[in-house]
Amino acid sequence: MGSAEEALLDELSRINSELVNARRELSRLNAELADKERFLARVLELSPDIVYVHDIRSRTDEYRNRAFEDLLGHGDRGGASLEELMHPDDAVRRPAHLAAVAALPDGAETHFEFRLRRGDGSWCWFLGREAPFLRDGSGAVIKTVGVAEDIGPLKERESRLLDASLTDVLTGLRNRRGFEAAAGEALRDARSRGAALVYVDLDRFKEINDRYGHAEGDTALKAAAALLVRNTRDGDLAARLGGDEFAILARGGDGEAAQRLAERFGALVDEWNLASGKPWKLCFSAGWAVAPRGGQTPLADLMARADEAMYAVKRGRRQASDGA
Amino acid sequence: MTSEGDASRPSGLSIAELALRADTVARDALSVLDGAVPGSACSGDPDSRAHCLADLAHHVRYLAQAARSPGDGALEDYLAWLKALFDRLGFRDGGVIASFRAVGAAAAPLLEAGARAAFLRVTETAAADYPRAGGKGNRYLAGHIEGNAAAGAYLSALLEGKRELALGVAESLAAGGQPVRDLYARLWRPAQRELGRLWHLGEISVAQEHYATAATQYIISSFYPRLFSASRSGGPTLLAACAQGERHEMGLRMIADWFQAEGWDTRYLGADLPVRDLVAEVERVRPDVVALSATLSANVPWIEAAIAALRSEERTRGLPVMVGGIPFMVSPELWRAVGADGCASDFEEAVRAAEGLARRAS
Repeated sequence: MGSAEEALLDELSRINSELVNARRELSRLNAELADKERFLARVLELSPDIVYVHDIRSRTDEYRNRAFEDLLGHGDRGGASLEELMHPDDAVRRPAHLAAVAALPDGAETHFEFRLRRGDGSWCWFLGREAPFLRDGSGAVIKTVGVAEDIGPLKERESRLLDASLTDVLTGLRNRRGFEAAAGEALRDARSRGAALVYVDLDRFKEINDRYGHAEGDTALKAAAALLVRNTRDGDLAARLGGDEFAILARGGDGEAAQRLAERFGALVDEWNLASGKPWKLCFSAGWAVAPRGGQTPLADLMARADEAMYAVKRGRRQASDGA
Repeated sequence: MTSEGDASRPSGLSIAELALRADTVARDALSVLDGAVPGSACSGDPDSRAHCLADLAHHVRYLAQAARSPGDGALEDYLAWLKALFDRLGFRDGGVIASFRAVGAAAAPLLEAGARAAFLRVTETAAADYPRAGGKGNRYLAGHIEGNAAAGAYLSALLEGKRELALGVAESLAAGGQPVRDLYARLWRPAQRELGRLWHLGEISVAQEHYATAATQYIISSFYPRLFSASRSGGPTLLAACAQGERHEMGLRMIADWFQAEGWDTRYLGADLPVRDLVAEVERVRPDVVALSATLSANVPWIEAAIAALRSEERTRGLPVMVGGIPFMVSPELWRAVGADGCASDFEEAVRAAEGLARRAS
């Protein structure tokens, strides 16, 4: 064999060796990749958050992990995309949100809060974080990847905290902030049928506190609150505005209704006084003001008038008792 | 390794530098031969002169490496290898001895005094020992597959050019429940060794040897998907590389495969890396052990340079390096001389040594 042939053989051997080395490395990488795939599949299965890949063009979810089924319980009827399960109020914001994701650079993400319907018809709040996943040749995002965290418990706690800031701890009625928020909204309602605001102020409350102690004072406040609640209809708002001041907003009421309300309350208080066995009596002064049907009466205005009316009553009562 | 040439550099080459000029020295040696042995084989047609030149350059490289290797093993092995080959080709001892002396004569004027004495000692020993080289038990002539029917059938298939049949032998062993690892020990290693012996004896052609080697590599590679998917373990990492340009990279690759089967994560880099690329790759992979191999002793300087480069980098300095290959087998102290931490020449021994090195390093 000549040296040219030998050189050719050597070259072929070298090429063969390189191919075998490449095949070895490929096998190693494949095994490594299979390992990573297994790892990722496990992680996705263990994730408490919904993970999904959304195809923007077909508007379908190409992938959803097990948490989707675990959290929502739709079985096989989960819809083609999360959007189909979205609360209507959130679904209208979805296109704008997807457009925002599509405008993101790789590595960036946006946040989006939304509700999804569970299999049983209830709603579940999610915090979604979504990012570009795949782009076409021109760089346009065609798929997104998202993680949706169940924030139902968080939302619940948030609303409990909100309640706490709007509620009077002693009586369980709305506090002044809670009353103003709810009453203001009721009055702004253009379809309002009018409303009556009744102000109630306990008389001689300071004496109860001073002679029988704060515990008895609290008992008086709680009793008055309970009687007020008994005296309201669904849709009426009862509140402790502070100290011994209470208010009721009776929807759809006029001056007559307000007077009846005050009288009924007086009767309930008398009843309570007879049965209480306490060495003190609940007494009160009430005044009211009316917001006419269809009008746009500011709450502050209504409150000021009712307050004034109540003080007029109180002054009259004092003069009467002083004169007696 | 002996340091030839210090700061106050005497005139003349070191032995390492001589090896780099092997082709020049070979041409000088050919002139010496022409003058000393008129009508020798080397003075014939251009083709045989070219072969003769190649042989002389080969002598220069191997004798130089033998001069630099501790002990007599390297020289003895080279002479045994040469004797087995040249006897078969019908070369007379006298001509071979003359060529050793010619190499010595051509090299002497180039070398610095100390190196000259060392090199001439080697050429003279070679000339004196060649006729008895290898003895009766020349290891290049001992068989490897007696009593191993599977390996016998496998090798016969390859020598007849029937690759698919050989693949079938391997597949049927695997199908019979042999772990892939055992195919290395029972089939591929003995077949490769026997192949080397048959080539040496002249019983097969170079083309047959190349074909069979390539076919075995291909067959082994068809088992790689199984090897790698079956051996995920998160075990220690081995990074293996052959000396750049080394033609015989199959042995180290098979050892790396064996490590893989033993639960190591292995990277095999082949024989194409310049030293600096090797160092960069070691820095990137951060293996537990680096394995370097040379089959031809002419490639030992690359290993020496690679180890020196690894030791000079902060990030790779502490990594254990083991070496292997024939030069380290025939000269048992050579691994220390090149600065390695360990040496192994066989599957099982290599894994044991690497485990020890990895433990010590961690």
